[in-house]
Amino acid sequence: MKNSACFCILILALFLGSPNPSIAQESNDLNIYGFTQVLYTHRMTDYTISGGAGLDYDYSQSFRSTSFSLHQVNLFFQKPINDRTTFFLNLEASGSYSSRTPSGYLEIPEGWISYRFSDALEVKAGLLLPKFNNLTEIKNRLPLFPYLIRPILYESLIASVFKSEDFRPDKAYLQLTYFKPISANYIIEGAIYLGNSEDSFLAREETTDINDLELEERTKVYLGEDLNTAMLIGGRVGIENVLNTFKFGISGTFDKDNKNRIEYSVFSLPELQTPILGEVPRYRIGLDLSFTINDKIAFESELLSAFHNHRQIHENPAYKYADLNKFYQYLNITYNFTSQYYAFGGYSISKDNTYEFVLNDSPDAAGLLGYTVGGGWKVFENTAIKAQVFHGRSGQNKNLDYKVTFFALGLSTVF
Amino acid sequence: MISGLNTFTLLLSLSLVQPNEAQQIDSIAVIISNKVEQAPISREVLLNIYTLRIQNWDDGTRIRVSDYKGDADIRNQFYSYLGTKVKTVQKIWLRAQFTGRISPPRMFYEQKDILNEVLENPGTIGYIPFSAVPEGVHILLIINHE
Repeated sequence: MKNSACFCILILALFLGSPNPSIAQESNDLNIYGFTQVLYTHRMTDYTISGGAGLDYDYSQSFRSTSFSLHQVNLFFQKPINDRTTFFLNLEASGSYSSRTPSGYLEIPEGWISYRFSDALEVKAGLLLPKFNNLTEIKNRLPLFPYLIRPILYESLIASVFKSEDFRPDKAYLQLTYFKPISANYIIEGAIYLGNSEDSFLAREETTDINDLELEERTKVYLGEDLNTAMLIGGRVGIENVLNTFKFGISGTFDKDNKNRIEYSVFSLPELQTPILGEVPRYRIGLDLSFTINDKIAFESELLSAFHNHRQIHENPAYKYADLNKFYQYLNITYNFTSQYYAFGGYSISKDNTYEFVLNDSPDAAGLLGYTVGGGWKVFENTAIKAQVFHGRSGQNKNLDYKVTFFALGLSTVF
Repeated sequence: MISGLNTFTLLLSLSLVQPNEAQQIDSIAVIISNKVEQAPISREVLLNIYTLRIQNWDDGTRIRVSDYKGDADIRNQFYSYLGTKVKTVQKIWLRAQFTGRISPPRMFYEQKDILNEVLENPGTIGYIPFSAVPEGVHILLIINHE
């Protein structure tokens, strides 16, 4: 309660201390801006788990809900420290955040300082969203998207289905970016970054969780400490038009996938579990392509693949056919009828082979498919009303039949 | 006295040229404060400034972009010269703002406010009708009506 009060006072002080952005300011003023998205959803979920493949289980459930929510509020604090140095903080509250109810969450997904050596070369240090494909850096900037419910890998409403880090990096701590003009309108851009291993390596308790009581008593760790000496190394190379009418890039990361604990299937099939496989070297590769045609049609797509080095795993005959690789694909097309009205349609697919060697025809390998259509009306320059139907389902599979449909109506405002 | 006369002339010229009225601006002057050391720029550099790729002037001063609010004729004419549209540039700005790359561009309804911003904050770039250019600013580029 005391923390919440302090937080409110801080926000109020920042607002009161910030002049209206439309009137002249000193160039080093603190800039505060952000966005909100209010959402109404009607959700229909149906799933049936059958007892095939030795699973002694049969279960069906249907669930319906209708809900309003303050889907997301983001406050950005941007402070130019001098002509080349900038501080940036992103404060995000999601799912009608309340510590009283409780609901939603409040987090700081970004807080960094950048230094520009030149227009082309910049370094960022701090918690940041790395450059990986087109979407990762803007995954939580909802007003930039035509839709309300994002593709399956980015949407918090279906985040519980799988770990997004299995497919793409979530954060980094040091990033160097560079661009070079290759013509009047095109540039080549590049980035390299470093970060922690995936979140599952981070300490959630002030112990090491290493199953060695004597060592654990002597080795205290702090919450959030990366309990691993490996790091995330990533980068991106791309070409884009300065007017953003064309963008293509290749992204990649190298890190370790944490298979030190028993994991359950993304669809939580009872009694299905994978063995402990240790820390598995992993490469995540991404391709993204987006372009617009005459300001009428906007095309956006990406491919992601997570490749694992299975050499050590395959040395154990029991795991000879283990395959932890994953695949994700996304495509969306938006048609602008006028500058105010638009319609869109798209799909996204994820597939995960991890459980296939434990259970033939595992639901994960069949994949999760998401289809969507919708439209929007830009009421004012910074305000849009959006409507969307999203349907997600498991791929053809004898063990699981899972369907979820969202009807969503939302209001998105930039301030 | 001369200074007072100049001010009167400036205010008169500003009041006569209102960008929100439907009219064709003969020539547009792209300007910055003369406190910044900066050579004239090309269309390509101007495009890269307004799409936020170039963020510092030659002397290292941070560039601040100013622009008109709404659907001013001068605004449409300016972006037409750059080969793009207001909406396209707004999308680029929004993404750059949201990713922390830039401070939000300063937006004004009146050209006198743009002029004040340019004069008071060295580093700010703006554009006004050529006929309204006062002393104290550098003209970086003149856009002639085609």
